[in-house]
Parts: sequence; C-alpha cells; structure tokens
Amino acid sequence: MTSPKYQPGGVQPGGFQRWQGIVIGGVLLAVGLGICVVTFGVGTLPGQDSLGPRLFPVLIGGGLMILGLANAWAGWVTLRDGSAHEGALIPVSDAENVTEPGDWPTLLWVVAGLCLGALGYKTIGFIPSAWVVFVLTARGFAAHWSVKHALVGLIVVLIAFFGFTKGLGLPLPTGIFASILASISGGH
Amino acid sequence: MTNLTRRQALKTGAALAALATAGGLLMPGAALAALDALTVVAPAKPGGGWDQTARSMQEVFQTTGIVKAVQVENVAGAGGTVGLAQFANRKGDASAVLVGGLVMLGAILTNKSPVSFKDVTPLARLTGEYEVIVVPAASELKSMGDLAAKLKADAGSVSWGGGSAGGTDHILAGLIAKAAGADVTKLNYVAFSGGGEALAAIVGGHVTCGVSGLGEFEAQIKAGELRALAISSGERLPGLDAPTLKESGLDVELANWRAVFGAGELADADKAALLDAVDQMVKSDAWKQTLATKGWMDTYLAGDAFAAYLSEEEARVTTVLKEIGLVS
Amino acid sequence: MDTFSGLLHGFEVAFTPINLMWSLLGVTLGTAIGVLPGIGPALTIALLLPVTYHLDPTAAFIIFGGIYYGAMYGSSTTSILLNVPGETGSIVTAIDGHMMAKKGRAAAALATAAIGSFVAGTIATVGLSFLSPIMVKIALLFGPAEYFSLMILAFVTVSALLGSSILRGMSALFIGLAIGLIGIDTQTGQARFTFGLLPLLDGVDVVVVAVGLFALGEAFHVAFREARRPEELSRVVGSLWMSRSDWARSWKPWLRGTALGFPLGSLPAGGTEIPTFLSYLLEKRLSKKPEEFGQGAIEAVAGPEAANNAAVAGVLVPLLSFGLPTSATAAILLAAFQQYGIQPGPLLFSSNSTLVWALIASLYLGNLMLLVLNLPLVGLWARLLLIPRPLLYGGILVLSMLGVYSLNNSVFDLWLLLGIGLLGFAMRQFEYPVAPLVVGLILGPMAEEQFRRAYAIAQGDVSVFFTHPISASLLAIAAACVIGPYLLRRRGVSIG
Repeated sequence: MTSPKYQPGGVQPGGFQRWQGIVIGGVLLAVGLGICVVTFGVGTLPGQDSLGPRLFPVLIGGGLMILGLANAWAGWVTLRDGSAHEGALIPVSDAENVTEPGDWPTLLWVVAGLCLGALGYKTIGFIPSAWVVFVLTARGFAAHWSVKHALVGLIVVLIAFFGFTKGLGLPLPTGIFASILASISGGH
Repeated sequence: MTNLTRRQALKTGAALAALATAGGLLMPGAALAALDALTVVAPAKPGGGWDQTARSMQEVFQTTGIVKAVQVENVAGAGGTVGLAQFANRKGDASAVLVGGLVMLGAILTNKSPVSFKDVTPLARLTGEYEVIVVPAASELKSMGDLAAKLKADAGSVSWGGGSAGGTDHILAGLIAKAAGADVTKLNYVAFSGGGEALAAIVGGHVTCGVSGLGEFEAQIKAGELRALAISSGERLPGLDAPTLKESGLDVELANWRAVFGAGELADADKAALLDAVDQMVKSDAWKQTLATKGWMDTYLAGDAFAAYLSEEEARVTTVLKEIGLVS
Repeated sequence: MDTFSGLLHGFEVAFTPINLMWSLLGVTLGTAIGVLPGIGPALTIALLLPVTYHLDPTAAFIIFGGIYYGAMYGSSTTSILLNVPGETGSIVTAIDGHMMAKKGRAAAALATAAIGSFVAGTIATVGLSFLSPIMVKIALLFGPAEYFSLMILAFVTVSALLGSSILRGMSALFIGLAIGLIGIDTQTGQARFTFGLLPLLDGVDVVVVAVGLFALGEAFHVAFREARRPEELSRVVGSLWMSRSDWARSWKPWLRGTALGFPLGSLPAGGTEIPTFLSYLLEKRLSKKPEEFGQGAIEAVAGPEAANNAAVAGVLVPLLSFGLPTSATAAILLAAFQQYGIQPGPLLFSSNSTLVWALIASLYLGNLMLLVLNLPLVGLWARLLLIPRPLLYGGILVLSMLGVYSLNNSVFDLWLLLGIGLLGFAMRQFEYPVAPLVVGLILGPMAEEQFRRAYAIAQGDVSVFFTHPISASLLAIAAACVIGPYLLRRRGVSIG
C-alpha cells in the first residue's frame, strides 16, 4: 500500500533493510527446496492417475527456488550498490522506504490479544476470550487502558454471541459461563 | 404443485406461528425415557448426505420428543475423517453421536487416518442408496455388457466420472472392473468434488461413463439425457429401467450406506439408551416420511449385527482399494 | 406456459404482502451473514431448512433467494469498509474498494458496488429467465481441458495485480500456489504437506487466507506504522455520493462485469471468483489510467462487484434447468427442492412452473429490495470508519475471529489466521503484494485438478488443450492478454 505520509526514496537503507532481499530470497529458496524434498515422501502407488500427485508440487517448489535465487540476487545487487536502487529486477521502491522505527508495542498488544483469544476460545469460552481480543487491541491502539473501550467491547462481544447462538442457532464455545448461559437459555 | 395458491392461502396465516414453534413441538405421550440433549456430529459441510441425515435425525428426534434438545455440529473435512478424529476424542461421552458411512470407510483407508471405526461405537446403519452406472444418451455403449467388454479390452480407455477418490463411486468402479476381468490397476477413474461437476462432465460427454448414487442422476435419467446401464442393487428397483449388475453378468452388489456411531468406550447403559433412541426414531412415522421425501432406503440394522456388517465391509473395501492401488 | 406469462404469474405470486415480508427477512438475514467471513448462504439455508419445512415452498424459496443475493451485498460492504471479505467472490473488491475507503471515497465505492450489483443481478436474472436452456448447452461443452484453459486465462489476472515489481508479484503468486498444495490430492486421495495435522487435510481455506492477509495484515500494519499518528477523521467524509465522473467510469464496468459473471457463473466449475479476477484484468487493460488500479480505481470495484452478483445468478441456471448443483449453496438449494418433493432438472419448468417463476420473480424483487435498503445506508455505513481506531480494530479482529472459527468450528483455524496475518504483515513491510497470493491459492488447486483430469481422460495426450476449439481459444486469449500490452507499448513507442 502507498501512503502519502511516507517520503519515498533517497535514504540509505540500514540494518535489516540492507539484507532484506537476500534473507527473503533465502527463505523462498528453502521453502521451495523443502517442497521438493517433502514431495518425494508423498505416496505414489501403481494404478493411480498417470500424472500422479507429485508433478505440480515439484513445479511449484522449483518455481519458488528460482524466485528465491532471483530475490537474493536482486538483494545482493542492492547491497553491492549500497542504495535503494535495486537493479533491473526490482524497480526503485515506490513506497515506504521506511526510516522511522515501527511501533512494536502496539503491534505486540494486538498480537498478544489474538494469541490469548485463540488460547481461550474453547477453554474459557467465546465471550471472555473475544473480549480479551477486543480490549487488548484497543489498549494497543489507544496506548492506554480505557473503561469505555472495555464496556464497548463487552457489548460488541455479547451482541455477537447472542446473535450467533440465538439468531442463527450456531454453537459457540460457552466455556466457563456454560452453566450461567444454560440457565438463561434454559427457559426458551 | 397445482394447488399452490390455495395452499398458500391456508398457510400464510399459520406460517409465522409455524416458524416460531418449529422444532419445539412435543408429541404427547411419546418417549418414556427421553434423552435431554444430544449433539449430532455431521462430518461434512452443510448440504451433503451426512449433513442431511444429521439434520433429519435432529428434526425427528425433536418433533417426536425422543430427545428434547438436539444440536447439529458440522465438522467437515477429508471424507469425514476430520470429524471422526474429533469425535474419537469424546471417549465415554453419551451426549453426542456421529453420522458416517461407506465413504468414511474408504477415506479412513486412503487417507491413512490415525483413527478408525475401532475408536467409536457402531450403533446402527440407517439408510442406503444404490449406485447407478450411466452413459450419456448419445453414447455407443448400449448395455453393461458393452461397457464390460470395453473395460476388458482396454481398461484405460474407459474414463469414469464420479465422486472423491477412494469413495463409494471409486470403489464400485474398481469392483466392476475386477468382475469384468479387466486390469484393475489401469482403472481410469476421474474424481470430481461436487455432484454437479461430475454430472456435467458425464452429460457433456467428457468422460466415458459415470457412477454415483441414483439420486444424483435420477432427474437426468428420467429426462433422457443419461442412459442407466445398471444398478448396484440385488433386485431391480421400481421406477428405474435398468438391470442389476448381477443380471449383466457382473457379480457385484454395493450400497452407499449411512450409519450412526456413538463415542468410544461407551458404558453399556449409555449404549443401550442411544440404541433405544435410534430405534424409536427409525420406527417413528416422521422418520418414514423423511425417508420417503428424501428418497432414502431404509436399511436399518442395529447393534451387533451392524458391527458384524461393518467388519465385512471393511475387509471388502480394503481389498478393492489395494487392487485399485489407492492403499498399499 | 411461455416465459412471459410464466414470469408475470410469478410476479403475481411474489408480490403479496406476506411474500414481500419473507423477501425482506431473507435479504436482511443474507446481508447479515454476508458480513461474517465464515458463514455463507449455504450454511444459513441449511440451518433454516428444518424451520422452513413448515412453510409453503414459495415462501421458503423467496427467503432463500433473498439470503443468496443478500450475502453478496453484505460481503462487499465489509470488503470495502473493513478490508474483511465475507465471501470469496468479494476478495477482489477489497483490493481497490478498501483503498477508496481509505481515501475518503467509501460512499462512492459502496454505491458503485450496490448499484453495480443491482444492475448485474437484474440483467443476470433476466438471462436466467430467458437464456437458461442455451446457457446450459454451452456450459456442457466445458470439460476438464476447457476449464484448465480458463484457469490459465484467469492466471493472467496476476499480471494486473503485480504492483511495481514482477519479481515480487510472482514470488507472492508462488507462495499462494504452495499454500494451495496443502491437503488431500483429489485425484488420488493422498495427503500432501499436511505434516500429520488433521485440520490441514482439507487444505487451507481461502477465507482464512483472505481474512488473514487483508484484515489482520492491515490491522497489524496500521498498529505498527500508523497507530501513533493522529487520525484524520475528515478524510472519511469526503464525497458522500458518486460524482458524475464516477458514474461515467462505472457503468461500462457494470455491464462488462455482468457479461463475464453470468456465463462463467453458469459453468459447472466456474464459481464466483474467476469472473471477478477476469473483470479486474479486463478493466485494467481497458482503463486509460491503469496506474490507478490498486490505489482505489472505481472501475476495479464496479466491474468485479457486478461480476460476482451476475455469477451468483448464473449458478442458478444449471441448477434450475438441469438439476446441476454447481456450488455449495446450489447443492443445499437442490436439497431444499427435494425436501418439497420437487426435482430440479430439465422437467422442472414444465412440472413446477408456478414455483420456479415465483422464485425467479422473487429474485428480481430481492435485488430491488437490496438496492433500496443499501443505497440510503451507504452514508451511514461509510461513517463506520469514523469509529476511533481502538474500537474499530477491536471490532474487526473480533469479527474476523468469529467468522473464521465458524468455518469449521476449529481453533486450529484461529492460529492459522494469526500466522497468515503475520505473513501478510511481513509481506506488506517488505512491499510484496498480497493479492497475487490469493489468486494463486484459489486458482492453483483448480488448475492442477482440471489439468490432471484432462490428462487422464485423454490418456496422456496433452494436445487436447490445443485441439479442443474452446480450450484453444481461451489459451489464445490468455496469450494475447500477456503479450498484447507489450506489443502495443512497443508499437506506441515506435510510432510516437
């Protein structure tokens, strides 16, 4: 994505930026190689369709290896020339030649919220875990705790839960509130 | 639906009320020992045979009051083995049952599934559907004999269109090729994911012949778009102008059965209660009516008799899949 | 009964107050479930089947028709506003639609989507009424070889989504292809790249990937790069309506999208995604300002939105006139017909004409109702973006989790969603476009499947792709799409 707020180009890429192309190329190469290796563990048995299940994985794995090499090469050219000029394969970057450091705390709050949400989904149930996701996301973006956000989150989660289970009749994990919810819905 | 308007006039008034109370109607006097709650696990996405079986069970259980509250849970994937694996974790849990069938048996074998029917308790076979072998109306193959001869001459030249690899359709194609004395390892089976896609390929003449449940092809057979060469039942079926495979000289009989399973390691009392609930359901009028509208055959077989049938089928299917080359 | 009088009678049946109410119920429910990524019309209709059993069949099908069309509307709304594609058919909409929303043009994007959907839905429903028998004959000409060539043509779309670098776009495409390999191989039943994980046996769901890359990737990106900047709330309330130039740029894409969506939707293996890809490709190739694509071009919303709605109507062609269920929703509709003892197929129009025509009439009605409901709400929906970031992204993430979980009731999918969200975030930081990944994921498995079917049927003779006329034509168009722009450019240079 492009955002007008970033000033493109002209800056000496530093740190990881310098090695980016080579690292990404290496990862793609490794994945491609991995696909090819694993493919030969995929069973082929006599009498299956003549082409078998291995051809396409090998083609795709091979493609990834070639692309990995190309990425690494483009990265190396960038490194050698020491500028944002990325050689013929990759034109000069058109966006976010990022100079300012990213906002790690906010990202970590959001990701932590999702991790806790996934951990708790079946164990403590949808309502508390989705609420945790909401509250931690809001905490990350707002950079402070807020009772208002927590309340809005609770309302959103409750509407989602009851809309889902009552409106559509689809099961959601009730978790620790199982008995309470059962007593609410017991009267239907 | 000639009396549609009249029916509509009658129904519109009651429609909202029916919508509100549907599923909540209790039949007075039914079910002495009603179960409180039951989850029916359908190991497939909504719409397929297993899902419809599960939802029909839900409907009948609730309207007859055999079980008070029934929930259907879809756990789709991999010929039902994903649902089976999840269900196998519910050891000793009498509050849920699993719908499954012949396709699942094939999938367990081809997917090398870590769980099998040994990890669950077979309760009862409920319904079945016979398979029909069809060719497009314009095909030069006029009878099952023609097809068998073509198969014997060159098994690879006959492309079969049907459902998922290792499923009922594939198994039947293998059984037929074997019975026709053809080279089973050369079986040219083309798997299609949805019923519609296979049907289109067959009607469009893109494959030599098609094999699937009678219900999938019935409308096209009646309309004359497809010619039914044979049916996989023991006797001819009423309303279908096609001989059985046996009449055509191929000693094959196969039904795509659907069944219901309980969790593994069920207590005897729990198993008896579930068997009783299923028995009441199968004998109810509502179930018979469901079978009639859906065109399903009643193949009810419960308890130990079903368990014995299951192991016979397991042996037969394993042999066929090995010969086709799907299972080592 | 001939088509006209049949349709007229259908309208008589559909236009009773009670049936209008059922239609309203259906479109509202459809819009609601369209918003949720994991829940589609198939599941909703399946859930309603036992309930509607007590209803008159006409009423039931009016509700189902409303749900079916409504889901596509709801899904495009969240694609544009929140970057959360509710159905796979509106993934393409998210690319430029959400960009428009970010530039304060949410209302125009929503309006062109709604009107385009209406135009396409109406034209396609007319097509359904009058062209069904012919469409089915054409659809049946498509076999595996033809489908494979169609997939190749759709792959060319990637060239319109590459962004600034061919290398990076191709890398994204191949990552998508690689993810598409995961799961059971359809032709042999062998598990590939599942690493012993059961939930991977059925492959990685496109919805999980799309929501992960678009919604989570976007949320992570904003958290990482923009959260500390003051929000520019005014940007949202730019132009509230489509300008004259928006209309001028929209109407042709609507019609072209319809022309792609309806026939492709009526193909048994066509689906709703491929027409949207092709529409995007076509609009970019025809546009005088192709550089705007990917940055919020209105044509890139108008065309694909028309295409997906036309395709949704196209799916009903083989269902009603041939009894061919070609999508999950069509399969459940077929089951619904059978529940009432009705067999869709060649004989349906003659044996149950009242019901069929009432259904078709209710599709026109539902479409109109959706437009009337959605247009006035466009401004209101656009104001969703005024919600402060903490609450907006909190809501988006809860919605994404809920939708993805409901796909398979599986917590595994939630972890997968998070992983793919992080992948999308990383790709964005390193300026790799994510759209080609989705294209690869959707088309890769289909292309492999069709190629191997064609190969098996032809017993290893690869020439079928070139000897079948439809297949050969499709491949020729694909080649022209790839080579054409370069030739034109070269000529342009030499002349100018």
